Amino acid sequence: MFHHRKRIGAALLAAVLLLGAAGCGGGSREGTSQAGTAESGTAQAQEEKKVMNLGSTGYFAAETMDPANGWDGWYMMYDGALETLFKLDESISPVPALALSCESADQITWTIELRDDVTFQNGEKMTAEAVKTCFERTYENSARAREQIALESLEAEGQTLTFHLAEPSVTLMNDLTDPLWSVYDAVNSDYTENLYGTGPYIITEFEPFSETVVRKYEGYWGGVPKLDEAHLITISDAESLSMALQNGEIDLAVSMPTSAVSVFENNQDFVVDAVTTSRGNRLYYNMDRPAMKDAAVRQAIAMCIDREGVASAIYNGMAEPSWGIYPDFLSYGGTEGLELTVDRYDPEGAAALLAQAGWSDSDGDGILDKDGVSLKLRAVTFASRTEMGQFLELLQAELSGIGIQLTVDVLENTNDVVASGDYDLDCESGVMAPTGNAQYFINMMFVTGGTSNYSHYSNPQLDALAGELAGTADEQERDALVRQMVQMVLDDNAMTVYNHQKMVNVYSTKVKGYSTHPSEYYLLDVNTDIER
Amino acid sequence: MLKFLVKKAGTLALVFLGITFLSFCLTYLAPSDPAEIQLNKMGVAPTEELLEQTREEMGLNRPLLVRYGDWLLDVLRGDMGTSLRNGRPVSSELLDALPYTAVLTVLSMAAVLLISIPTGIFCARHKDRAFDLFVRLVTYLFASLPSFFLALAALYLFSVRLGWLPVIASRGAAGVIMPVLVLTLSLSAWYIRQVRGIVLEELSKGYVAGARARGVPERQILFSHVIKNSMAPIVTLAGISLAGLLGGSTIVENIFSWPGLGKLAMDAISARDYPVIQGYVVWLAAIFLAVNFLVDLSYGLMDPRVRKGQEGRT
Amino acid sequence: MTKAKKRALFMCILLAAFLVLVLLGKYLAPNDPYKTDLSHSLEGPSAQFPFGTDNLGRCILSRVLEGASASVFSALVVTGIVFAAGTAIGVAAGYLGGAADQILMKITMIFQAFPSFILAVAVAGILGPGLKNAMISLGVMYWTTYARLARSLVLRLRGEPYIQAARLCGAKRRHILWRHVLPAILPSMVTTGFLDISNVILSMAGLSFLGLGVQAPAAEWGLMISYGRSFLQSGPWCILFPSLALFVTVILFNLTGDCVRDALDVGGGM
Repeated sequence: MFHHRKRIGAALLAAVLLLGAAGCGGGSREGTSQAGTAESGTAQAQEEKKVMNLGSTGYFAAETMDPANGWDGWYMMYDGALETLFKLDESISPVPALALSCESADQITWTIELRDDVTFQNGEKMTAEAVKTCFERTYENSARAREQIALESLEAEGQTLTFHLAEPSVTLMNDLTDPLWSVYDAVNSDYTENLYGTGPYIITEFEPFSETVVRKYEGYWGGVPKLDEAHLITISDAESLSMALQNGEIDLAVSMPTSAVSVFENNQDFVVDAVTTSRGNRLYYNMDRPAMKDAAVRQAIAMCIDREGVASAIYNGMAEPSWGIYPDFLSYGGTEGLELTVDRYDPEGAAALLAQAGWSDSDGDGILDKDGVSLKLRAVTFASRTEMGQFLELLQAELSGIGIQLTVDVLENTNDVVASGDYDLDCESGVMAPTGNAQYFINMMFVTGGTSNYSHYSNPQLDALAGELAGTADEQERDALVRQMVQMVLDDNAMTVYNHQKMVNVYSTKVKGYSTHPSEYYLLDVNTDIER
Repeated sequence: MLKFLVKKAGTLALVFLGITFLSFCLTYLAPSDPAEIQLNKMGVAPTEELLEQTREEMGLNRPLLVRYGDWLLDVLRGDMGTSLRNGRPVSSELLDALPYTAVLTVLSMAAVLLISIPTGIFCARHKDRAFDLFVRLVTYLFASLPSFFLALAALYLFSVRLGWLPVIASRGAAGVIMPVLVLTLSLSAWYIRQVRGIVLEELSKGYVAGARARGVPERQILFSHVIKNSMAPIVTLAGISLAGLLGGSTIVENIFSWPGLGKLAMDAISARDYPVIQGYVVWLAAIFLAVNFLVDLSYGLMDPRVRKGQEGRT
Repeated sequence: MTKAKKRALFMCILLAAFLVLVLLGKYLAPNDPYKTDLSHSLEGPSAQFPFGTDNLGRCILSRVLEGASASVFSALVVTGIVFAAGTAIGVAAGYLGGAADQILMKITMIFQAFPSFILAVAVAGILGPGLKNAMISLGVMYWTTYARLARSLVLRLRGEPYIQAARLCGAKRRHILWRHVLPAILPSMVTTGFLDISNVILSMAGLSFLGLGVQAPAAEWGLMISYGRSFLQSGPWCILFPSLALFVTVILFNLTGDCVRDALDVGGGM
């Protein structure tokens, strides 16, 4: 009796479990297709069509479909949707793309001849008039564009576009490689449902910050794109990104967080494609805040950063420690010939420096203070690059050793905080010479009132040199000027670039016709292919 | 019955008002001033004068109840304001995410009920036998594991080691399995124990002993009395356990990048997007309230004594 | 002493010993839990670091020990406060009856209308992260259980003959409350409280895991597990040991709670 009953019970339970599982499976299929937004790539369809899935924690996170909005043009350039008049080659020099040639006699009037065979993704021909309309719109809507090019007016005739600048520029071709100056049909795009660029892929589905789906544009001027469709998926954390790649859910991971790289090294199914770029991981010191006004405090913080240790432990060797501003490979980069105020990891020296500058723990709370200002600092960074939060956590421990209390806030993005000015330290990451032109970064970061001058640094001498740089054509003179400015920034400790990070893309060996570009501008192009 | 319904609906309306009022007051807890956020959004450095002006423009200087009234009217019209993060209406943000959470919740709930009720009853009926001890041990272990550990372990096992299930849950039907599995395991561990407890209590009642003494077969006692009488508390608990599922989905959705309400809420929290957080709370409370109202109704239908009892008390 | 009581006593002693261990955790730690050492980044368990290190070279064992007080004692404090407050409200409602009961119960009802963890997430999310705010949000989430339970127990008691007898004899309200009502409801209340501690611990860890609780660099188990996610494959010990600590703690509280329930002989809890 006992056994009998037990057996019935077990059978019942098993049946229920099975039922449950079946209910699960059946229901899920129904359920997700109801909920589905990105359901176009089911297993069957993938066999017929050539679909590539790309994943990243932060590279596909466009906010809108408007190239003039923030950095969104950059993301859409990644998608293969947009192109620029000139593009950067492997050595970060501008070469013609949608343009054929570029000429100027006086560096004020620039005549650009456009290709005659380019159409927007709605079939409209790309004429000089269309490009003019597009650039005027971007210029109107983007402060960054106005900062980059001092545009007086544009003139269009046939396929000839003429730039009239307000002041001479030697770097117009470089500047026009910035995705901000990508070419789109400004007459017919509405930036919410559609955007018509000239690239090999057209955006068909767009979810802000999460996923973009592109389809090949048959009428592309540079040939027929190899892929039918590509999904660019934002995956929220590093571990999921690497697991998704291991699991074959994505074929290519853009900017693999360095903590995950070790899993793919020495694995025959994957290519770890690391390229040195000018991406600088850096710390801004908000000089509007009382404590940060003191040069000694800034220098002391810079001395507490173990740059070699950070590069090896946090960045898994996928970064080059930096004691200057620009990376070695740029003609104006490296630290040779510069006088370094901070040239090694030296917490004891930092403590001594602070004491010398008059900071002491007068109220006995364990935190240094001076004239009523306490060294309780707030550091912010954004979440998509995990290494930066970890770096701040390390800095927090280091600084607590010399009597500075650091509160760390890892935010989804730092835009709001930066606008409000409520921070002492801001840890950011960015490409410092994306167009190869030093001027761009200097104007944004160091010149008084620059759009990304989060240190609120102001040095009239530097401002003057920046003005001089704009009017200097000779490469060697330009490099010398840049080095002079870098020296000023280092002397003042206006910002600390603690390393230059490599761009690490990891992809399945099935991915063909792709290699990581050192500029961080390009991803999908007409040659990208996948073997299924 | 009609009177019962009207009274229930009255309570429902009152609680709904309470929910909205509490949710409205939530933003008062925020350390930052909405006017300041607004100014920062526009890239303007907030001065005291500007702040005052913005507060006036945004109607922040009016009395609390007036503002609540206005807000409530908007909410009832489906307008929950706009997201500070991307300027989209909060209700469309929530509507986009809702189906995902609904799928997760409904599937998990179904799995939990199917697994827990029979198991719980069986364990109670065969208290202290091998199967009961085994189930108690397993549920103990699972109830003591945080759902995020379960989720990470499942990810590692089923995706990386075995390659059976996708990591990015939101793409394709198979993706839903792992989040549902994790939610089901966590909740079933709790629910089986509750069902077992309820049935045990019922079994210990006098009438069971009486029936046994009269020689009524065990099976008849169990099915025609004990289970029937236990159903009301079991169903009530199922309604309550929905809260556990919705709460658990916050963590699970974030681990599996499942674009439901929980993920939306966490994204909103990290962006200090208060209108979305507020909308999220109101919606989930409203859903939970509606489900429990239905449970209450079924409870009343199942056991007329309850209905009368409630009517009698007031 | 019955077998159940003996078992409960044994579990309580075991739990007390565990709490002492938690309390002394700081002093037992082999290393400084906050000391970073990049030359020992992400090392597996060894004699020097029995639970291994994270990528900043911090000793996981020391951090687990250090984190015990944040994870366990904050939960104890929260449970203690909601237990006292909830019981007071419930008893007041049940005993006073009438309008007071109606109002208090409507308020409880409104709070209970929120799915609990959701409310905690929203409150913590809006207040901003931090241990104090996380504790507040958990308090907001948990107090209703006690209020409702206390009220229903009191209501049941009011009808009991011995209470009515005491009232008829002219005993003062306060006297009845302290001498008869509270002792009678306490076993059920305490059992519920005991069984709730583990839930509070898990919720606290959940909030920290989501980044809404204790903030870095503080050692707290949920936070450590969240931090360890980046090393799920390259350093699984970063997740494993804090999870194990959490697991053992929760099991211990649950077992003790169950034994206490059996010893006090109060049905199936909630």
